[in-house]
Amino acid sequence: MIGRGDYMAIQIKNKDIPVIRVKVDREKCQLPMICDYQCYIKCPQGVFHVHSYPNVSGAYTKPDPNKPKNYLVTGSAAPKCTGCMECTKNCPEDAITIEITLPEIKKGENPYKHPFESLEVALENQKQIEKLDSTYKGLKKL
Amino acid sequence: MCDVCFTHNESAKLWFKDAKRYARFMYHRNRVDQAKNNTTRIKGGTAAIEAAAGPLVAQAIDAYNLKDDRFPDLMRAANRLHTKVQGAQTLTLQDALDLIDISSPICFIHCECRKFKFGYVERDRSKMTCLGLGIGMYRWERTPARYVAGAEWVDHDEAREWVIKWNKKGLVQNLMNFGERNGGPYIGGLCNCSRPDCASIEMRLRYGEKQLIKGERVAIHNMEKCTGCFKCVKRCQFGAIAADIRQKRVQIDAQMCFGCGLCESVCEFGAIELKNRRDFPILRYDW
Repeated sequence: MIGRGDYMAIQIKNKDIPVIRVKVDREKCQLPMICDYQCYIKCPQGVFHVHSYPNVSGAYTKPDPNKPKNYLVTGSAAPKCTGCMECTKNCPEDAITIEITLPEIKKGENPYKHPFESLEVALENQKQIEKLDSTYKGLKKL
Repeated sequence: MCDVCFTHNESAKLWFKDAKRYARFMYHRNRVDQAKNNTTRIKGGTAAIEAAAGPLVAQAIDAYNLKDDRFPDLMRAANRLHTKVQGAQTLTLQDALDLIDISSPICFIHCECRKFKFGYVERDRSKMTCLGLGIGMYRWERTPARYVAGAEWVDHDEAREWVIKWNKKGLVQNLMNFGERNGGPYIGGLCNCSRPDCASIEMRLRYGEKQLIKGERVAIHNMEKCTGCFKCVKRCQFGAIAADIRQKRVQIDAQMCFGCGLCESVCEFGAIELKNRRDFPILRYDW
């Protein structure tokens, strides 16, 4: 299947596609047992993984609910992210930040337009998209 | 549908529903006007584009099979040309019904993909899986040597029942756009496809050729409502749904989803929701 391989290898090289970073603040996210891993459950794409923390440095210890620092939430599958922002809405500690850098917009081109669409329809859609983008926090434009 | 429904519908801004924006170009055959208005025209006309696109696609597929480094470059070049010759887009059932409403004349025809892949010609009216749209279909009727099964002319009600029948059986509805040759799209058909038969689905998933582009919607999955009946896994033609058998739930990969809505129609628990692709900052670049 070329689905995601195509998406990653070919298009990122061209800067046609946005780049995503998922950051979990380690100091704020110290008690993942309290919130029942809201990010892990709510994410439709399975971006977040839960590790047992000592396992990262090598030795495995049994999970213990009384020792919350044994766990570590990471956004290690960040390229899967679609930018729906369900995780930032549901996180009680505001520990998650998602940074999206959108690709460069060339003059006279509409990056949101797909190959069959007429330019007039694409421009109408672009206005709606710009309204949406203003609501996101971590969005950057090159 | 009445005018009010048509204009104030949520999906009224789909590109093919504003027919007045491209109808001017559809049957436009005047070469002088074409040369003035259409700046992207290639020398030699449409025949040159078709002649250039075919070998490029063949080269790219060879490069993929030989694990050649030039594959991404060749495929990108092929994609640029190929949308001018032929292209398809995935539709939901409701969009397919709306497309039938605004087009005439319409007729049932046999599926070309199934003919050249498996030698299976749908001669019977009840087994035909393609719908030809527009006056280009008169040509289909006139050359029986090539178009073997001919054209079966139908009215809109019959075509609507026919689409619903194939959707229930699990086939995906794809719109066929026969090129941007004269400056605008020419919508010539509505196909009912499945993975092994359809040439464009196979080419897209295996080689990444954008003969088939993704639909306007995307399926978003709610894991809390999912009970693990796995009905949707059978229905997906694009391999976007993975079954987690141990935890009794399903995961839908939104970047592989084409937005056909087959999985949503079979889910009894409301765990799958179709959303607009343009609402997601990542997916709106990924056609």
